[in-house]
Amino acid sequence: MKCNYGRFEILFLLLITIIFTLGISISEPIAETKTVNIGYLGPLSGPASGWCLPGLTGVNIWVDEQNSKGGLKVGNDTYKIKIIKYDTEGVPSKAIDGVKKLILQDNVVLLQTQGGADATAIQPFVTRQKVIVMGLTSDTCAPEHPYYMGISENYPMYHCVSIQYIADKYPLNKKIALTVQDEVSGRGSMAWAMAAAEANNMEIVYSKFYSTETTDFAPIISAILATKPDVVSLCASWPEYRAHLVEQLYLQGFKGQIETSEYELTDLFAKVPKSFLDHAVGHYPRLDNKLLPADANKFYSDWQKRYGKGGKDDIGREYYSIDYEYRTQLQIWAYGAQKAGSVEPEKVRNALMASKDLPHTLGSSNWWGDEVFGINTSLISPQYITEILNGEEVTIDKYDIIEWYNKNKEVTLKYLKKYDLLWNQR
Amino acid sequence: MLKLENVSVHYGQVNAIDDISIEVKEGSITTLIGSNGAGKSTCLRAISGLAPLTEGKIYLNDERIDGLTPEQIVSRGIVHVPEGKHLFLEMNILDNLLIGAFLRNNEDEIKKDLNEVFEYFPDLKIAKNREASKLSGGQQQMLAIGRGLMAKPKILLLDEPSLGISPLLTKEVALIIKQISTKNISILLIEQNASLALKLSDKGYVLETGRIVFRGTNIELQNNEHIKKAYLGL
Amino acid sequence: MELILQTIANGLIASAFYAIIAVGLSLTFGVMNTVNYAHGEFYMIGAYTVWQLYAIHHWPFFLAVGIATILVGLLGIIVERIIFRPVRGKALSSFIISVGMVFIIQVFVARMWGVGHVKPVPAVFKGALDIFGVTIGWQRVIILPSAVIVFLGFFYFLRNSKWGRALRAVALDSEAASLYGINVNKCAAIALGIGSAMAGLAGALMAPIMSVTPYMGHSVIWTCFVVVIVGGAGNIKGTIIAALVFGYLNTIVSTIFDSTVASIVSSVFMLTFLSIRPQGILGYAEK
Repeated sequence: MKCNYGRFEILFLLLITIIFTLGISISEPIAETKTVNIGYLGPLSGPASGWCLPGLTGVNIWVDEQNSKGGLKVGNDTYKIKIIKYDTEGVPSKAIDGVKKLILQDNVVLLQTQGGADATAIQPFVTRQKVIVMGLTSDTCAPEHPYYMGISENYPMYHCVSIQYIADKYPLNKKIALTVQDEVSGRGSMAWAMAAAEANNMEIVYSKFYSTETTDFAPIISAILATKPDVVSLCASWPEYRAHLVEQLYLQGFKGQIETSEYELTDLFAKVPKSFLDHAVGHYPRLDNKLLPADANKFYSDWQKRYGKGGKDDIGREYYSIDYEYRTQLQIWAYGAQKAGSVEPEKVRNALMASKDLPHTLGSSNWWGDEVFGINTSLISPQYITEILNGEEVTIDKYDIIEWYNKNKEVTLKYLKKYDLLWNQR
Repeated sequence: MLKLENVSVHYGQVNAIDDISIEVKEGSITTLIGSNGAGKSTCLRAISGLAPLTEGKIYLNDERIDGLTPEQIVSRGIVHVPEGKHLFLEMNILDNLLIGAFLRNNEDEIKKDLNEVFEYFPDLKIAKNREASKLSGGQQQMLAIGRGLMAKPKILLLDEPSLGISPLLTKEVALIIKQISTKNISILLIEQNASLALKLSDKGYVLETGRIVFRGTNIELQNNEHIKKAYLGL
Repeated sequence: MELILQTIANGLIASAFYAIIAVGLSLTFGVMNTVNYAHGEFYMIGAYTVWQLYAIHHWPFFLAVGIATILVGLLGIIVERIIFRPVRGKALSSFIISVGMVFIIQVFVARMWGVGHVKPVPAVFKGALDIFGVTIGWQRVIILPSAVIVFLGFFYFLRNSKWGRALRAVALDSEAASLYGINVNKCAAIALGIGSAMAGLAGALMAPIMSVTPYMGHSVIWTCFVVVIVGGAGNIKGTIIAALVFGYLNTIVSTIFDSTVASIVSSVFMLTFLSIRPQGILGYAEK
C-alpha cells in the first residue's frame, strides 16, 4: 500500500482538524451554564403506559418554567434541566437496561418512575450507584431500597380516610362489602379499607379478592348484593375491572354508596346513568379547587392553557391525576437540591430526609412509613376526599393520613399483617 | 376404458408398485389379486389420485388423468371404495349415502339412485337413520358400496369388499357386484380371496411385490399352476 | 333463594358466552385438524369492530355486530387460504404459524389503536331484565337468544345442507371425503370462516360489557380451550355441554368462594375429567 495523498485530501484532513478543534473550543464556554439530567423511566407504551405517559405534561410545564427563568438555582450554580426519557414498556428487564443507560451514559441525578415492578427491578443497581428514585406509590419503599421514595400519592393508604369519611358523614351506612383484584396493590387497599371499617364499628359483610383473570363479574356482584351492603368498596380495583363492577352493581340494582380509588367518569357514564354514582367517594381532587394550595390551582390553569382544549399543545383529552404526579416529584427534588446546595444525589437524599413540611403540589407533606415499610421514605400529602355529584367529581373534604394512622395503629397493623404486607413479612 | 401405463409409485425410498400396466374394459370386472402388501391398494390409490405417481401415465378413455386431484377424478366417474370401508361412522346411513352423491346436483336422479341402492341393500333402507358405527360388518360393507354407487360411477374401484365379513355375506356381496357390472359399470376389484375374485371377474392380474407377474382371463388364471398353489390353496 | 336464582341466570349467560366461542374453535379444530390459537384474537377483532363502528362512528349496534361477524368470518377464510392451507398436515408448522398470528394480530391492533386505556363501548341497553327477583343487564341477556339462534342455524346447516354434511364428513375422515369429490380445502375455509364468525359475533355482542383491549382474547381463550378439550375436541354437542358445565362451575364457585378459586377448580376439574375420560364428554374413542 502506498500512502499517496493528493493535495486535496491533505486540505480536507486539515479542514476537519480545524473544525474539530474549533468545535471543542466553541462548546467549552457554553458549558458554563450547567445542565442537570433527570431520567424519566417507565412504560411510555404498552398496557401500563396510562400510568406514565400522561405525566410528561406536568413535567414539561415545570421544566419549561425553570429553564425559561434561566435554570434552577442550586447553591452557587444555575442548572438547566433536561429530561431524558426511557420507555420500559412495563417490562422489568427493559427497566434494568434503561437504568444502566440513564445512569452510566447520561449521568442522571434523579429517576422518575411509576413505582411498582419497574422501580423494584432497578433497586439493586440504583442502590449501588446511589441515585435517587422517586415513584408515584409507596409499595416499593423498603429498608433495602434506601434510595426509593414514594412521593406522588398516598396510595394505597388513602382508602382508610375515605372509609373514615363515610363513617363520619353517613353514619347510617353501616354494612360494608369490599372486593378488589388479588395482587399486591389490591391487597394493600383492602387492608387499609378494612382497618377503617373495623375502627368505625362498621359491619364487614363481604371481603374477598377476585382473580386478575376474571372476565365475568356478575357472580361476584350477585354474591356481594346477597349480603345487602350499604357501602361497596371496590378498593383499588384496576380501571378495566372497575367499569364492569360498577356496571354490574347498577344492573343488579345496588342502591347504596360506592367507594373506590378513582373514577374514569367518561367511561363509567357510557355504562350507567349519572345519578347512579351520586355520593360515590373518591380521592383524586381537581386541582382548581379552593381547598388546595394556590400552586395547585396555578398548575391546573397552566395545564389547561397549554394542553387543554384549544391550548398550544392540545392533547385531546381531559386533565387527570397523573398529569401532576410526576411534576410534584420534580418539585420535591428541587426543594431537596436547593436545601443541600448540590444536585449530588446522596446529598439531596439526606437533605430531603431531614426536612419537614415538604412542598408537594397537594400541600405540605411529611415522611412516614417505618412501621409499615421499615423505612420513612413514603411522603404523605394531605388527602382530599371527593364525591360524585350530578356527574362531576367534587372535592369535598381533606384528611390527614398520618394523624388517622396514629389513632388507629393497632387495627391497621393487624390487617396489614393479615394480608402479609408488612415489611418484615416479605 | 381405464388404462395404466408403466405406473410406479414410491413411498419414500420404498417401491410400492413398479412399472405396472393394467387395462379395465368397459362393462367388465377386472381383478387384481395378490398377497398382503403386494401393492394392490396402492394401485387404486394411484388411480383415484390419493397417491402421486413417480412414473407412468393413467388414461381414462383418451384423457390423461394422473396428476388430477381426487375431486377431479371422481367427477370423471372413477369412484374408489377404500379398504376398511372408511365410512363416516358418526353419520347415519342416509348421510353417508348422500356424501357419495356430493358432486351431483340433480335431486331427482339422486333420489332415483338412492332407491336403487336401497333395492340392492334392503337392510340399509330399514336402518337409514342409524349411525354407521352401529351397523354390523356386513352392513357397513354394503353401505360402503352403496355410497360408491351414489357417486354414479363409470368405473368402481373396490378394495377388499370381503374383508371381515362372513362367508354367507361374502356370497351376497359378490352377487351384488356382479349385478352392478351389468348396469354398464366397470369394476376394478381387489381381493385377497382369490377364488372369489376369479369367479367374479372377466380378467385378472396377479401382483407380487409391486410387480405384475401374471395377466390373463379368469379361466387362464384359474388354470395356472402357480396361482392355484399360491392363491387358491389347491 | 334470590341468590340461587340469580346464580342460575348468571351461569346461563356465562355458558352461552363460552359456548359461542368454544363451538367455533371446536369446529375449526374438527375440520382442519389444527388448533387455531388466534381464535381469541378473532374474538378481539369482533369487539374492536363494534368499538369502531358503534362507539366511534355511531352506527346502529346490531348493524355493527352483523358487520363484525361477517368481517371476522371473511378474515377466517383469508387466513385459511394464505396461512393454514400451506402447512396443512404439518402439526409443528401450523402450531408455530398460528401462535405467531396471535402476536401479529395483537401488535397490529395495539399499533393501530394504541394500548393502555380500555376502549370504551357504551352500553346499548342500560336497563336490566328483572324477573323473580333476578336481574340481568339486557346487554348480557341478548347473548342467550343470539347463542340459541346461532346454534339452531348451525345445526340445521350441518344436518340438512350439502356443505354441512361435507364438513362433518371431512371432520370424520378427510381422505374418504375427498374420494367422493369433497374439496377438503374448501371445507377448511368454510369451517374457519364459520368458526371465526362465531368468535367475531361473541366479541361484537360482548364489546359493551368486556374490556376492549388488544389482549382481551387471552382471558377467554384458556377457558374455551378447556371447554373444547372436555367437550371432546371437534365434537360440537359435547362442546356445548362442556360450556354449560364450565359456565356454571365458574359462576357457582365465584359466587360462593371467589374467582381465584374458580379458575383453580376449573383446571383441576378438567384434569380429573380427562384422566377418567380422555375422549371427552361425548367423544368417541380414537379408532
